[in-house]
Amino acid sequence: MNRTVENPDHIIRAEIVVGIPSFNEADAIGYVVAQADEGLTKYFNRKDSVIINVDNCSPDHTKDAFFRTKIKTPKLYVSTPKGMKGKGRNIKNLLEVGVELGARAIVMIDADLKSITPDWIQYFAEPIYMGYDYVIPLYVRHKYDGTITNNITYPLTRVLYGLRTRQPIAGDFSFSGRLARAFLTEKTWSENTFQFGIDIWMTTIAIARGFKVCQTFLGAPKSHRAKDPSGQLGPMFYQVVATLFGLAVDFEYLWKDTSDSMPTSIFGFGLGVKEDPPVVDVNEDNLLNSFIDSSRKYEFDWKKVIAEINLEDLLTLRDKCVDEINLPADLWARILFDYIVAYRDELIDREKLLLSLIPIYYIRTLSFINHTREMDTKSAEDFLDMECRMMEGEKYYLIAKWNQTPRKDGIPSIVQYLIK
Amino acid sequence: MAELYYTFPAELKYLRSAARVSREVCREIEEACADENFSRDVELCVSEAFTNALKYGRSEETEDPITLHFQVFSDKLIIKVQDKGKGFDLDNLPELDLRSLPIHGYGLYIIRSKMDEVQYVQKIEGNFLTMTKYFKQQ
Amino acid sequence: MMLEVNHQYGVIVIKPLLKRIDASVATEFKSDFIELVNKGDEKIVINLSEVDFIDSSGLGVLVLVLRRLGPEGKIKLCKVNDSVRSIFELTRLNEVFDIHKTVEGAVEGLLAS
Repeated sequence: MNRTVENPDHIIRAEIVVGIPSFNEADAIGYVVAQADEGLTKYFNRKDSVIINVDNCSPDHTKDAFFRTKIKTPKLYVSTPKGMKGKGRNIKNLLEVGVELGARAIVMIDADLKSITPDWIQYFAEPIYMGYDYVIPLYVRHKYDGTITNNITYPLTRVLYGLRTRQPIAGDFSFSGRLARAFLTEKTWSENTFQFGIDIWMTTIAIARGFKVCQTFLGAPKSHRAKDPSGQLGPMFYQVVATLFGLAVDFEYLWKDTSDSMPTSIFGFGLGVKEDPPVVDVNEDNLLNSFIDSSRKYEFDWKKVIAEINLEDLLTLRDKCVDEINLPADLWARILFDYIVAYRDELIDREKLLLSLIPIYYIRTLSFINHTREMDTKSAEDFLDMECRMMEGEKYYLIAKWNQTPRKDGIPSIVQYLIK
Repeated sequence: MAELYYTFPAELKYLRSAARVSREVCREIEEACADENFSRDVELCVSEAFTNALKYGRSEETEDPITLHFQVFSDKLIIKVQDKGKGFDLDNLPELDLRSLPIHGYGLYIIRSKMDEVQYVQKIEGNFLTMTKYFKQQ
Repeated sequence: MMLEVNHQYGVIVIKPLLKRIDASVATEFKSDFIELVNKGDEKIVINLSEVDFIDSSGLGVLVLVLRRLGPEGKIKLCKVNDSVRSIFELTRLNEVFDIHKTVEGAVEGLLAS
């Protein structure tokens, strides 16, 4: 992939790299750069370090904002060719440059992160020095923030690969040079990975390939533009879920063997968060209405994909009011597993397939909201953990379904084999 | 012939899942042979068999799972429940005297009543309880 | 608590709040029941309106309870659905636990005997 590099400080070697992927973040990036610089100076003074902005040739001149910020640490700018966008592309550039510089630790921070402090550099880099390869953050989030994480990526990563990584698509990570090299040799890079699928891709590869993973406790709430989960999901949903499902197909030899999940080591301790995470407003009626409308639109597709017994239970929710909606964890798990197998077999066009999952994901979100309405953050976390355990208990269903003869002609039944 | 295998850890919490998958298998057959009690009877027998497998089929040392094997033929359903424990002696079980109000023993009685054929075999690979139920022909 | 308890005309009416009475709940079900019986009741109506499914573990608990009631003890069942009824019939336990259609009918039956 072609890239342009601007290296005014003539850096050829660096032990610690802080990478900041961006697209049109000219007004936010300065803050992140300054905080990162302070962190590097404070904690890693004697080490050669560099801050790299990996950008998509931002038309708002993010590059200038980056270079204008006065800091002690040397800077590097790398960009994809004009018009080629994608967070994954930026990260690939970061990996390549990091490896070329011989970096031991690469910390990656989102350009729009308002809650970053200099300590974060230590929280992310220190575990690498302790021998870990992949470090994921543990934030405090509002119970309704991160619904794709809570309902899809976190439980499925747990169920499939047996490791409880609470924020598999956090957006900020760090990795060892070793893991960076490994990422670059993987053959599963795809267009989805070049976009928003990159986070779940990295987490899954790190776990699947047996690298040492840990979580680092950041304490402070994640402060970013939190979205109403009932709002437009956009292509991100597809990119993340397609990546997750696609890797499940590639790594089937791995997940068929694991049963229970294990906790991931945590670096740092819970220091008692004094601040409450910012509240997320959810339009619950939207969630339910979308489900009801979609049940007509996707009726045929759902019949093809979802096992009859699961679909029956799901459709009973159409007659309930908003606060009665309950989609139990085990049913949700079985539906997700129906989808993974359908994805594998391409029962219907994959893009349409994942679009048809969205309304069910909405109703699951609503169900979660109903259960945790009166709960504080900690109780909601405990509840989610219990739900995930229930989902793990359904793995037998995934394995059995996976092993069955693939469905022919889209006829979802074993009756086809009966000799009449 | 269609075959389905489901493997469960030998734990009580999986009893309901085992019952549920048997219901799902039967759902398909019910439509084919219009026998509405079929699924109810099979689910009950699978529940009994799984419970027995937990009771007698589990040894302290191993954590071997329990496997349900469904085979659908054109005229019947065969269900094999396999466990790896010490098992029991089916042929030498005391006859169930219903009038004496026993607390235990109903499980096998129910299986034998609802299923057309019941066999129990102990092999090296494990204990196999095989239950066969024929479809009611239309 | 898996059981809802009422008293009607001096008779205790117990309604299991479970849809399924199988081995996965039998132990707790048994201990909840025993606790109630130990409080001295001898005539019990069991309202099975919530129950969809019962297997031998469930039956075993009911038989155990009946035995515990002693020689004067009597249990009547009511609001039993078809599939549950068929299990009692299969095991001939319907001759031991009479099955009535309504709670009132069962209570009357108990008071009469």
